[in-house]
Order: sequence, then C-alpha cells, then structure tokens
Amino acid sequence: MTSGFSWLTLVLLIPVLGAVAILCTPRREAWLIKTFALIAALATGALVLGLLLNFSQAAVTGSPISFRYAENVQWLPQIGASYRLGLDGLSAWFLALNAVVFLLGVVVALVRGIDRPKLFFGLLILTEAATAGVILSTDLLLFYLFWEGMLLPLYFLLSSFGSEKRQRATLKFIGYTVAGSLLMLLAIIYLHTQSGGSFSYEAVAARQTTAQAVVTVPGLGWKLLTPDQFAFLAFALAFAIKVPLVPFHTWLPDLYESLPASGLTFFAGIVSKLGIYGFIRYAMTLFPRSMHDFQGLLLVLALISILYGAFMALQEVDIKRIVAYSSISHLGFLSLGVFALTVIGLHGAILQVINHGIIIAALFIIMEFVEVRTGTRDRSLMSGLEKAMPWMYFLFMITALAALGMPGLNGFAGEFMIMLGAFEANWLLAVIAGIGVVLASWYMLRLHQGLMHDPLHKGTKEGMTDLHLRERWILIPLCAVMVVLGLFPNIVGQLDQGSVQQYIAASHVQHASAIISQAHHSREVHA
Amino acid sequence: MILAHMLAAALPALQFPSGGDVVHLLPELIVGGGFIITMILDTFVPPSKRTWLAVWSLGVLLAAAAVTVSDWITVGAQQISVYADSFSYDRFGLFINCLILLAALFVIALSPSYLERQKIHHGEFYSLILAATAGMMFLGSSESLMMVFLSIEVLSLALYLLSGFRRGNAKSQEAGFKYFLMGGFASAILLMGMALVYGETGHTQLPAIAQVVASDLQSVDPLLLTGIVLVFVGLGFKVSAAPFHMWTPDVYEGAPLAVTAFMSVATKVAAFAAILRIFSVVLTPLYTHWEVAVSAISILSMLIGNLVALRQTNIKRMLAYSGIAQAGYMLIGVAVSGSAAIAGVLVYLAAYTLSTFGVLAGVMLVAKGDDDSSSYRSLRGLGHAHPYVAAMMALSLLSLAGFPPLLGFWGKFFVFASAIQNGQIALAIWGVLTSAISIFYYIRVILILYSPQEAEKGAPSPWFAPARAGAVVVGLGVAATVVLGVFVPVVYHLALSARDALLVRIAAP
Repeated sequence: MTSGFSWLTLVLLIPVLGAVAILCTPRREAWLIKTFALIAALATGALVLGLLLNFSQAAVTGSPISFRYAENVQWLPQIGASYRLGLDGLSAWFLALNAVVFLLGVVVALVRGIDRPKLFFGLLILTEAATAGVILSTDLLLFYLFWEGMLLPLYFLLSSFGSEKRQRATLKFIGYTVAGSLLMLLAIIYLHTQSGGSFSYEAVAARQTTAQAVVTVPGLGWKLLTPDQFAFLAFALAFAIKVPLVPFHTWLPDLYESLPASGLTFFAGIVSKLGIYGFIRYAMTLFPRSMHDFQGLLLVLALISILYGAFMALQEVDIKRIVAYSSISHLGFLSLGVFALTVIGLHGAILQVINHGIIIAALFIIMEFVEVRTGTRDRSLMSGLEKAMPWMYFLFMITALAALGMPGLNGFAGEFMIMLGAFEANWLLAVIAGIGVVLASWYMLRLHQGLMHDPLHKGTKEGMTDLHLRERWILIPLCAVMVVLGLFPNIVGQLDQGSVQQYIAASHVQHASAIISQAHHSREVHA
Repeated sequence: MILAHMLAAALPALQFPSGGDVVHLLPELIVGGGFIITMILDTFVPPSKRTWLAVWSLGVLLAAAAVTVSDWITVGAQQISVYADSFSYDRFGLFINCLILLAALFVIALSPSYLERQKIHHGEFYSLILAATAGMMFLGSSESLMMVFLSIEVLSLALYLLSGFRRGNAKSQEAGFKYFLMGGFASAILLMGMALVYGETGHTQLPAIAQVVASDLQSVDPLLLTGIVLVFVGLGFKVSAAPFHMWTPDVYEGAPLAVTAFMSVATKVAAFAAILRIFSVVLTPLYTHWEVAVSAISILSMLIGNLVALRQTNIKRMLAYSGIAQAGYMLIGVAVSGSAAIAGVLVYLAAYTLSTFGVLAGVMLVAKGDDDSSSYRSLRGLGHAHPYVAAMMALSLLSLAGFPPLLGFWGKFFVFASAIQNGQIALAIWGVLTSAISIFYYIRVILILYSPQEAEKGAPSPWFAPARAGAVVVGLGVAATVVLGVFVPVVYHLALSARDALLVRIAAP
C-alpha cells in the first residue's frame, strides 16, 4: 500500500457510485437520472484532470515502467493476485481520452435525447468504470477482469440501443472478443506460472524468458513455437480483435452502422483504442523477444488495415459505414506507429490515439446530424447541404481536414510522427502507409464535397435547418481541440515524463541483451 | 453372493455406534427425519393448506443449514471418521451440504406458487425433495463404497418419482420411466465396479482402499482397473458426462421445472463430491491409469454439450446440454488431479448451482404451462413484460457463460488455472475454445428475452406475474453470483479449507 489517498480507486468509484445512484432513481425521474450521469462524468473528468496536472509531482514506483499514484492491496493472496493500480505517462493519456469521450457520450445523449435513459446512462457510466479499470490496472488478472467485464455493460448497451441490425452485430462482436480474450486468459495463467506465482505486471515482466524449449507436436516431432511465443500470440490476437486489425475486423462495420452517435463516441473513441493500449502495455513489454519475432507479421497486418479500410471507405455509399471503414484505416496507422518499435513512432501513435478519438467521435456525431436532417445515409442521395447549413459546412470541413491529416490540424502531427517512426524501421513501410494518406484525402474530401457542394439534391426533405445552438456547442469544442492540438502537438509529449522511452527500452531490452550475448559468443569463438 | 460379503464387511461398523457419531451426522439426519415427518404430516394437512408443508420443509432445511454452518466452525481442519469410516465428518462434506441445502431451499421457496399454478400441488413433492436432499447430503460425506451406493439409491429413487410428478403428462411420465430404467442400469454398473474394487482390495472403506492402492502400486490388477472404470461410469451417469448423458435432455424436459432446477443442480454437486472423494483423493496413486479415460470423457462432454446446445429451442434442453458441458469443465479438475484442482471444482460447483438455478427459477416464476413456457418462442419479450425476472435470468446466463466478474467466471478460471499449472495445457485450450462456442447459445437466450413479442395487443399475457417471495429468493441467488464474484476470495477461501479437510488423512495417514 502506497502512502497517500487512493486517487485511482476514486476514478473507478465515481462512475460506479453514479451508476448505483441511477439504479436507485425511479424511471420517471428522467431529469434526475440525467443529472446523475452528467455529474458522474464531469466529476470523473475533473478528477482525471487534477491527476494529470499533478502528474509530475506524484511518487514514482516500479520497473520496467514507472507508475505514479500506485496502489496495491492484497486481494487473492492464495494465488498471488492483487488489486494493483498505477498510472504512467502513456496510460495517463488513455485515461484522459476515456474521461473525455464518456463525457461526450453523455452530452450527445442529452442533446439528441434517448429512450430508456435509465438503462442507457447507467450502463454508459458503468462502462466508463470498466474501461478506466483496463487502463489503470497493473495486475494481469485484474486487467483481464476489467477487459472482459467491460463486455457486460457493453453487451446490454449495444443490444438495447441502435437499429434493428444491432442484435446480430452485437453477437458477432461479443463472440469474436470473447474467443480472443479467453485464449489471453490462458496465456495470463501461463505467465503466472512463470513469474513465481504472481499476477503483478512487474513480476511478470521480470520473469526469466531465456532458453525456452520449442514445443513440438507429440508423436510427429514438428517444431512449433516456444511457450512464450504462444502466449504472445494469444495476447496479440485478443488485442488485434479489439483494435481491429484487418482479418479480425468483420464485427466493426455492422456494429458501428447500427449504433447511435451517443454510443459511438465512446465505443469508437476509447473501446477500440484499448486494443492499441494492450499492444503497448502488455504485448510489447512482456514479450520483447516475441514482439521482435512477429514484428514483420504485425506490420503487414497494420499496412493491410490502412489500405483495406481506405479502399472500403472509397467504395461505400453509406456515410456511416464510410466513417467506420476510415476508422479501420486510421487504426491501422496507429498500429503501425506502435509496431515500428521506435520512440518517435510510439510518440506519434499516442498523439494519434487522442486525435483519432476526438476526430472519429466528431465525425460520427456529424453523420448522425446529417442523417437526422436528410433522413438517409446514402451518399448519392445528398448534395448541396451547405446552403441550408453553413455551420455544419464549416465544422464538418475542419473535422474532415483533420481526419485526412491536413497540416495545422491535429491529425497531421500524429500521422507525420508515425510515418517518421515507420521510416526509421523500414522506408518501404512509410511509402505504403503514404498511399493510405492519399486515399484518406480522396474519400474524406469526396464525402465532404458530395454532401455539401453542388445544387441541393432533388429528393431532399423540405425545411432543413442548420445545427442548433446546442448541437454546435458539442462540435465547436471538439474542433477547437483539433486546432489546438494541431498547432501545439507537444502538449501530449509533455505529460510523458520518459514513459515512451521506457516502453521502447523495455521492448528492446532482452532483444538487445540477446544480441550482446550473441556478439560475446561469436567473439569468444573467434578468439 | 458378493453383495452379502460386502454387507458383512460393512456391517461391523454399523453394529457399534459410539455415542458421538450420531452428532456428526446431524444435518443429514435432520433432513432425513424431516422427510419422514413430512410424509406423515401430509396425511393430516388439507389440500388448501399445503403451503404450510412448504413452510415446514423450509424450517427443516434451515435447521439443517444452521447445524451445518455451526459444524463448519467447530470441526476446524479435522477429518473425523463416523461409524468406522462409513462417513467422514469434515469441511468438505459440509461445503457440499451447504450447496445442496441451498438448492433445496431455493426450490422449496419457489415451489408452492409454481405447483399451485401447474395444478400439481401434492404433499409428496416436499417429502420427496427432502428425501433426495438427505440422500445427496449422505453422498457428500460417504467414506465407504457401500454408503456411496446406498446414498445414490436414496436420492435416485426420490428423483425417479419427482421426474414423473406431472402425472397426467406423457412427457413427464416418459421422463420418470426413462430416468428409472437408465438409472437402474447405471446403478448396476456402479455396483459391479464396487464389487470388483472390493474383490481386489478387500475393503469397502475408502481410507482402507487408499492404503491398499498406495502400498501395492507395482502390481495393478486389471480387475481393479475395470472396477475403477465401472465406478466412474456409474458416477459419470449421475453427473451426466458424455457419453453417459443420453437420458439428461429428455428427463430435464419432461420433469416439472421445479424438479429440473433441483436435480440439475443438486445431483451434480453430490455426485461430484463422490467423484472427488474417490478419484481425486483415494485413487491418486493410480492416477496414470485413469487419467486418459477421465480426460477423454471431459473432452467429449465439452464438445457434445456445447455443440448440441447450440441447436436447442427449449431452455430446459439447452440447460441439459449446457450442464453436460459444465460437467466436462469440472471433470478437467478431476483429470488434472492437483490439490488446486479440487478447490477449483468446488468453486465451480458453487457457481453452477447459483447460475443454473437462476435461469430455471426465472422460468418457474412466470411459467403458465410447463411444456410451452420453456420453449424459446414463448420466452420472447419477457424482458419487456417482466424486466426483473428477465434481468435475473440474463445475469445467470452470463455467469454460466463465464463473464467476469460473475461467479461463473471464477469456476472456469480456477479449473483452467489448475490444468495449466499441472501442464495439461491442451485440456485448458480445449476448454477455452468450447467456452467460446457456449457464448452463442447463452447469449441467444438473452437476445430472445429482450426481443419484441409477436403476440397482438389485447391477447392475454402468456406469463403469470412472478410471486413476490419467489422473486426475492431468485434475486438473492443472483445477487450472490454478482457479490461473490467480486469478493471471490471469500468463496475461494471456503473452498480451500474444504479441500484441505479432504486431504487431511492422505497427508497424515
């Protein structure tokens, strides 16, 4: 138990208490339910902001990653599982994004209105607690509990709100995720046997991984992989499904299409980012050797995601699905920055996590506003909306430009750093990823022009109005953040306090030592 | 002939009961006595006042539960032999008692309104449930093959009758008859196995068998192995492990919901207690000989249970196949045979008891007709009509599917963890892959519960309003799966001390 107040527990507790308060409120007192949800989301946001502002003053513990605000309480001592929380320079940003997108989800639901508010808001802020738990936990079993437990409120949320298609889409999503994460559970248990009976991140990271025998098929003698590599693949699969990287992406378009914007803000904003987070926090630092063994495979998957998402976005006519596929492409970019295993690439990826979280939320909100006004999601049935909606034109313009990586807006800095990082790893990666950037400009600008320019489409509904004041005030702060982060991208870097270096060092440490020992070995042989 | 020998071997133990021994069987005897008194009371209680029989039975069960809990505290970590190793008085047996009593309490609390609505409110119901409960509790503490067999007969006879309790219904009659026939075969096989084990070792008492088995490892007789396999088949029938599961779906479907809920849960708990006592403790020296067979049965159960459950359209049948699969998961814990595995199986049993019961109890609360109400089609829209009941069922189903932080997750977690610790990674991976399949049929039911109802407006509701008392009981059970899931150290600690008590005499013979 570290001295001081358990601030991180409070981050988890506020949403849970909010959910309990909502549960206890009668259904007809809708205003009270909404107030509770808003208070919980605001209070969590304020607390997270306070934690970030005092971040550099907090005590530092742990290796290979140093955590601040660390907490450690014995929980299941018989099997070495504890309630351990911690925050580092990397998870701090995920936590911030988490607080923002859930607050945004609450605000959008308040502005747009939602049926069954008690169910929606209760589940929404319960999900916030679970995702915050995924980000904060530094014990592998606790991490898994939040990771999988997150699906409980999400499941009810996804299956209760949205279009008719949602049931199948939800089932697909849950089936995919559970299959992936159950294998990760086995890998976690395996790591537990290797770490001397502890689930703590630190103990697992410090385990002995050298000289592992390769597993062979009994009776046939085929050589497979080492147990560590199997464990790595289990982790990677769970995260790749959540991101999603391309062969595991099929749950995404249907689900995104069926969800309302209030759900999408946080689902596209944070839930899919947790896959990226998992790659950085767990796959990279717990399995440095395997990460290098499979780096090529992961990079190829990231490139395929970039291109596949972009091409699919080009051929779609449904505006919501275009954004969904663009999200796959952008998440491919993020993954590229992570898998390049360079400091600048990881910096770029973290910056882009924030950027993409904000941009994708804004895009989905805009698409819903468009759909509500035109009554359709078919790109070919819309044009010339600018005349009726100057505000929409302007705000959509900024968002689209940010999404395609226009210099001066936030998407640029992140993508540029990722490209640099990829270039450091292999110049070809940067070239192929560059194609994705070009395609992004194509489908984004085409979407914006198609919807906004030209004469008004004939079949358009009469009496379309521009964004209402409240709708504008959802989008204006988001666009402001895009501009500010675009002009001062180093804001994100300031919090980091050396965490990115630590992650990259941890992902290289054993690799480097292996190379060194090999060098020693060869020198001895020569001598 | 051989039966006479076995009885002769067992009888000396029974002839000289020392005074203290009765006390150690008090929970079992309370329920057994309650059974007889209920039967007599039934003849005096007028049909309109039968709810009082339920109240009385609840009192009996609560008294037994109170004694069990106080025994848990007083017995400590010891394992006390009762009637010269016929029974064992230890925390393991008490843990099992608790689960069985919990199931019985739940069922009887829900039964009056359910039986009344189905027009089968006969007094025998309560006495038979108590008889089966007593048999199961005896089975949980049996320390001799004879007592294992007798306890199984007691519980089975009561359950045969209960399965056919909807007397006018062909399906129910079929269930009773089928269960009786198949159960008779299984009992015969079990007895044959016991006879062979007795013939080879010369003992019916488990500790004595353990000594013989441990001292004579070099020359394992094929007859002994045959006996062990037959014993496992007989017990495998009771836990409905594949390929001895054929009776399960039909019997679960035909039996009244209350009986299905009771026997799907409590029988499995009691039979697993016997399997753990015999296989995970006494026969561990022969582990290498039966490991493959148990692993194979476990793998087969997971596969058949999960795959066939996907195609079901009736919640009773679905739960029957899910129960087969769950038996497969628990058998992983037997097949890896570590001391951690025993605790894992105990946690699993607790989770299974609460969750399976939660699902069936939900249907029981609102069922109009037994056969109609358990089909998927009739459950459509329950989430809108009775949100409370549907939420309870949904949480229980998610617990069965193994979502953290619900208790069902922890059962799977501890069993898989013990498999990996013992190097049986293939079993664990198989378990995980089949659990991924199971998500689909559990979630499918939840989707059905919350999908819109097809019936036109103005039609009478296809459900009864849930009885208040019953709803509270189900709520308590489901709350337990959530709370105990979050505070799992409590359950795990209890399971560990039950496990330790089981191993006392093996550790220090």
